[in-house]
Amino acid sequence: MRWIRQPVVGSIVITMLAFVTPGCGSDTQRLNVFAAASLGPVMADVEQEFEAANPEVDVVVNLAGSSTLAAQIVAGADAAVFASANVAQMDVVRDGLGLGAATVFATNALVIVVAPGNPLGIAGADDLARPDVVVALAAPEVPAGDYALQMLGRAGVEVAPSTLELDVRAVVTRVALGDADAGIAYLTDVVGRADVAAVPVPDDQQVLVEYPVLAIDPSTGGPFVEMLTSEIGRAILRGAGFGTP
Amino acid sequence: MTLAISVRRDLGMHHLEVDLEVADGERLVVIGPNGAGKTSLLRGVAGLDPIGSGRVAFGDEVWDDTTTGAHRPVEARRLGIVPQRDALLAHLTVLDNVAYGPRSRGLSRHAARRLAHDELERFGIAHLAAARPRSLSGGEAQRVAIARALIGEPSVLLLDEPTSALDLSAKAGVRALLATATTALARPALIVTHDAVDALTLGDRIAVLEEGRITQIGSGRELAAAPRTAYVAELLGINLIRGSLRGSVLTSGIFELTVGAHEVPSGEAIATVRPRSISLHRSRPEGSPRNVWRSRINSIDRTADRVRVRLVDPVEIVVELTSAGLDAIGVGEGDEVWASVKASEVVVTGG
Amino acid sequence: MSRRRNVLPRVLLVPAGIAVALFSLPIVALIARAPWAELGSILTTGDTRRAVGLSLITSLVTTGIALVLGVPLALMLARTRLPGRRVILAVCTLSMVLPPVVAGVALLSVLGRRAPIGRLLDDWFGVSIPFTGAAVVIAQLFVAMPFLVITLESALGAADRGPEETARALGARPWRVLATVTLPSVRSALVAGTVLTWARAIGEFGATITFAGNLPGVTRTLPTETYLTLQNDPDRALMLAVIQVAVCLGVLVALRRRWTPAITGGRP
Repeated sequence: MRWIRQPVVGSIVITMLAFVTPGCGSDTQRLNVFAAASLGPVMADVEQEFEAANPEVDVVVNLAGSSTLAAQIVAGADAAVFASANVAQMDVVRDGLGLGAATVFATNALVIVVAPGNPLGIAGADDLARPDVVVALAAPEVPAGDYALQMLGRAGVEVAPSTLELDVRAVVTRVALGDADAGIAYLTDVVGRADVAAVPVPDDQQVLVEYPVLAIDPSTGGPFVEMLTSEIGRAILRGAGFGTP
Repeated sequence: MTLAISVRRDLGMHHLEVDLEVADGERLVVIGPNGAGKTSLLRGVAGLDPIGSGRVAFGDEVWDDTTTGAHRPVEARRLGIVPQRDALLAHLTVLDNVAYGPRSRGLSRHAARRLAHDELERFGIAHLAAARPRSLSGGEAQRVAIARALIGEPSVLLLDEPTSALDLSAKAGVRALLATATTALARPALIVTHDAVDALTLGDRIAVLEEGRITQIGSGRELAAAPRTAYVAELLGINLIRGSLRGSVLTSGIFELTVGAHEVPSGEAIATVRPRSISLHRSRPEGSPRNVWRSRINSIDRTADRVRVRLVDPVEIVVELTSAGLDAIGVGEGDEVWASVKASEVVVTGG
Repeated sequence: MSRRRNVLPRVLLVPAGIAVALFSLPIVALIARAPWAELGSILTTGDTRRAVGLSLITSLVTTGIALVLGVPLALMLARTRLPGRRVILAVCTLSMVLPPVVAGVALLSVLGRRAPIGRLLDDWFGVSIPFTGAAVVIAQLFVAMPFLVITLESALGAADRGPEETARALGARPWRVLATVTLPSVRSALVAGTVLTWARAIGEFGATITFAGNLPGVTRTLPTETYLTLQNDPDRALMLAVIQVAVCLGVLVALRRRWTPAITGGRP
């Protein structure tokens, strides 16, 4: 093992070992949280709070479209907690793994996303059907896209989008970059952003977006879900623009 | 029309400085050691390489003139060129190779192929029309290349080492072909080679290129009789006797030479003898040499270290010996003398 | 034919075997798990037909444009002393190895509606490239054309100039030399490069989705269709994946021994 003494080789090997064996010898537990993409900022804050309260736990948040995450969990991914952007994907996981009921911990609302200052004067869903408005929506296969179609259905508007993005944040990006004039996304996706503006959706067209959460592994995930639904979690959620039931 | 060449170009190792003229129907051979600049010269005349500073013109057509900046591109020069190696286009048949030039100049595919077929017949290789270059022997490929160069009546013929890649028997055939074909063409022909037999058999005039400069120019006989540099003496100062070979005897007119061991078939042949291999005697010598004949001294060319004696009857032969050696025999111009050479010193090749 | 002694240490079979498994097992598993019973219904679905049609059309258009633009570029790089030649080659290589999404972002930053050139197009012609079929082609071109350029440039650089000179000396003008001697001499590199370009184009996903977006019939290519289908109907996604494998396999088999050495760079 003489070659380990070589400084460069040695430090590379030791660094690699450090990555490969986390907590080997120490007591940090790893907690994988699979969460819908739109929950990103919230999960980061909750992660911080949780790790502060439970220093022996290392929370790792995996963000993606809910359907992608559901498929991975059913296929055997090691997730302790699953927070979905809709009930349907949560049901996929519950049915797939034979688990009990989930808890709704947050709600969201849809908004119409436009450029700052609303240069094209978009007032509501009707304006999305205008021929001069380039519209970006989320693909119907992802929850946000499905909700958007529901909303448009209630508004009685037929929209010809120019693109169906693979996740809802990409919709906001399209409008922010200026390639699209308008889009439909979650309120939480535009809160705090200066590069887009939001046009609210009237209540009769609004869709209730419920976020269920489930501790897939109750022993490790349970405490995390508790924090999420506690006052600490709710404060974080409200700060990001989510509603709390 | 005359091909006028004037080239001044820096080739790194030395400077190429050549002024030459080749007349209609003349075959000018440029001979020299490798690296002398022969190929650069040929490519410069063709327009494939720069000529540095100078002028190349064919009659009134200025092909290159570095003072006026005139330059006629290669494809507009109506050249007949046979490159040094891989002359034929590998992905075309022999027929299409020969038809390539006419086709490039506007003939329809059909007309070009017909012309090519006729040309191949003239050269006796029509049976190769459908073959691919890959399947041809060296000699066959070179014949095709020559046919291709001559079709369409080029203004100037440029040949780069036409026989160097061939074996001895093929060399002879190609030389003969070149001789007749170029004579029939009646245009200037510039041939570059390092092979002395090529030079002596093909060259109406031979220009010797050493380190970028022409050191001597003249007919083969002139060069053999009075070589000005060691290279010329070494290379060209050999005797060439044409005749017909039967068994081990070459007959040229009334002259008979017994030749050394060979594998040349009976028929037209060339015998070469080094001037130094021939001995001169005052009277008929006894002893081993099989070839002995009587002749008369036509001229004596003395330089510091050697003497070249030219005999004319019954064949033209140059003999080289030391000054002292000649003095010892005690003969001079016009005197009768006996010459002898061993059969083993007479090398014969196919003619 | 004499049997050559195996000079390699036997133990190399182990990592080599793992490598083979890595390449082949996923494909085998894919083919095994695909719902073959539903092949007919999946192939005839409107969505499938649209995605396949779009992928085929865009990739073929891309390949055509790549030939028209890439062959001249390769010729210029290999046969002239173009200033900045090395820089151009480096940029080509770069766009070839760039992560596709990065390529998409790069395209947006020049052709997006508010980007320098995109803005001009929008102002003067009212034309916006993102979200159109043209965007798909451009995204594919960006990542795939370098394959053609680099393969061809390398072959042209290595090719013997003798035949070209002979052709010129026989009276052929530049276009004729190009068509009858230069390009035929690099025929196998040309084919290999074209095939690689097409394969890369038809498989392009990251740059396409980022730059061109996703809209059925317009910009929803087969890879995008597969990705989205995976979310809701994994079985159908498997079948679509198998279809793409079959297409690629079909092309490689059709080219077989004559051209694949040029792609693999080795012995047949």
